[in-house]
Amino acid sequence: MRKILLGTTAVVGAALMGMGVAQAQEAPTVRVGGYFEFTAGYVNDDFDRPNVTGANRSRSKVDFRSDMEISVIVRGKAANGLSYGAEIELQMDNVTSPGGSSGVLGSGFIGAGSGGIVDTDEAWGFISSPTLGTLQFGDQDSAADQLKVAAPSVTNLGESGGWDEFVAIDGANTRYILSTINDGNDSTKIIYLSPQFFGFDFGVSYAPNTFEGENLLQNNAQQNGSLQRNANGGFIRNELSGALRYRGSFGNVGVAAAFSAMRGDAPDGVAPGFQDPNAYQVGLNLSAYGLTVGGHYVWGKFDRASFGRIGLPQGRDTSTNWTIGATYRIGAMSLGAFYALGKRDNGGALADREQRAIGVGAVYTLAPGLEAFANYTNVNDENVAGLTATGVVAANGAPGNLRNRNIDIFIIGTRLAF
Amino acid sequence: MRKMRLTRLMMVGLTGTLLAACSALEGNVRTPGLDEYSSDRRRDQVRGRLGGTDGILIFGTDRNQQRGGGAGEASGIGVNAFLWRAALDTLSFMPLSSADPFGGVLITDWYSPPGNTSERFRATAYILGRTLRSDGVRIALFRQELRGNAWVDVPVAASTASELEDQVLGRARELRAQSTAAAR
Repeated sequence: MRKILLGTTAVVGAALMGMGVAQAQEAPTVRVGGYFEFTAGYVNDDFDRPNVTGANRSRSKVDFRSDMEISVIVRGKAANGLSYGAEIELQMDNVTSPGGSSGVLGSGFIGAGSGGIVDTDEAWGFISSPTLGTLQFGDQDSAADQLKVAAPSVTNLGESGGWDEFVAIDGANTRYILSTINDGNDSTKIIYLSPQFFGFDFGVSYAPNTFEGENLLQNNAQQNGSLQRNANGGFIRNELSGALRYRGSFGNVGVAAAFSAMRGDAPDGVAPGFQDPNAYQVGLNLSAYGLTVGGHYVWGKFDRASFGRIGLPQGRDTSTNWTIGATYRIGAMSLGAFYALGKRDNGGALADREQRAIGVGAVYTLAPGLEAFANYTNVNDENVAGLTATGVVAANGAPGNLRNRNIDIFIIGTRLAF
Repeated sequence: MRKMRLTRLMMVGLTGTLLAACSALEGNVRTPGLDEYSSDRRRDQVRGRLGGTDGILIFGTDRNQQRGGGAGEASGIGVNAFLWRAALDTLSFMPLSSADPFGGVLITDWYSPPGNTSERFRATAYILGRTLRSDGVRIALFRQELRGNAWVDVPVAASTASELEDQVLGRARELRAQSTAAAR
């Protein structure tokens, strides 16, 4: 021991990277995790009335839903200190149409039906170096999403939280226009996440197109013309995203702030065609003594609930939405509240769409991994004109279109994670 | 002449700044863990996990469970007992100034190697948790030299501390092997 000390005292150590960290090889592990959720909802929605649905009677106010996901988690560490691994997530998905693209907003195949079909959610691998950062590849959320800072929330409470599953989709093919920057829809991509320097880190990601999975054809197409790489496929291509984040603490106050951005090439379309979509988000969170307050602001060239996932029709202005929220944790109980407001240009001389949501909720941790939650959300949607999925103004007065809408939703349920 | 002195002073200052920057980088550059990114996954929003571990292990060795016989709660100390005892063994050639088995901190007093009274060392060992892992021990080493009649701080090679850590880990491994053999 003394020999070690004596032998090295002459050396002035100024190694920049990776010093002092004892590295050891770790044999890979494979774990299976997942969650199960049950939710009961009580909905009071203007869209459930006969004058909107065209039915004789209003829709029922109560519905139940269950959800689950199974994750296979692989982790290992090589002798040189590189960590590696993969995650494969199998989710319950309500795919109802052949080739239905559950991951593509605005494609008309959202939800409904028998459900209970299992497909993949994220499926990705990674390599991580203690000094060079992390490289992820596969069907995983974009860098802009992974590094984003958003308004704090508790389980199933939020501007696009548990409530939206229970309400009808409107004429513009949306339930909500309030959210964070898009997560990249799990389209197959590569993501680089940098090391953290004095609290700052950044990330970038690239996806050639918006599709995920092993297939390179669109929607089971047999024709040569329908590859996912097609410019006229109706989906964005060359999606780039990036973000810069800061995390630190000043005194007893924890601070997290981030700027996220993404852009894509709009698909070729019938004239006048589409503008290249983009989306930006700034977010800030402050936390101390169990209380977290924060918010985010999203803006960019997108419309409806796409947040940059589809081309913006020519002539439309940028959209905005923002959310502020607070959570408070006291023992096994977490309380949360939020307020959110979004605006979308409806095009032409039509008035903008404006959606406002306000919610309060609580989560009780019964045991580690087992939570009971309850929350109430009120949504007020002022939308003067219905829009079809392609952005064309639909005939006013058609069911589901041209409606101002007020929704009250109360949900209660439990989520179990293992 | 004066200019030269200024230049020399600036160079010393620059070197000092660089050294300071290096040591500042050491604590401030790291790759964030995968759980430090924003996740919209519903599973990730739940606090804790049923069964206590993140998923059910179906292949490999669960390092979270490597608490070993006598390590942790049973022995009444707050950190991994193998690492704690190994750190004590390894640093026992220096006089101990403070030892806190609950917080896992071991601080030695100044120690001069025999035959060399113009330099002295002091070490602080931190045991970082209850689990027996290679990154569960961190040792900081301080060195001073006698210049004139005052002790002056001198940098220590980073590898020295990590070699000491290796010694502790090696000893911990021996202790664990002994304890498993005894339990059979």
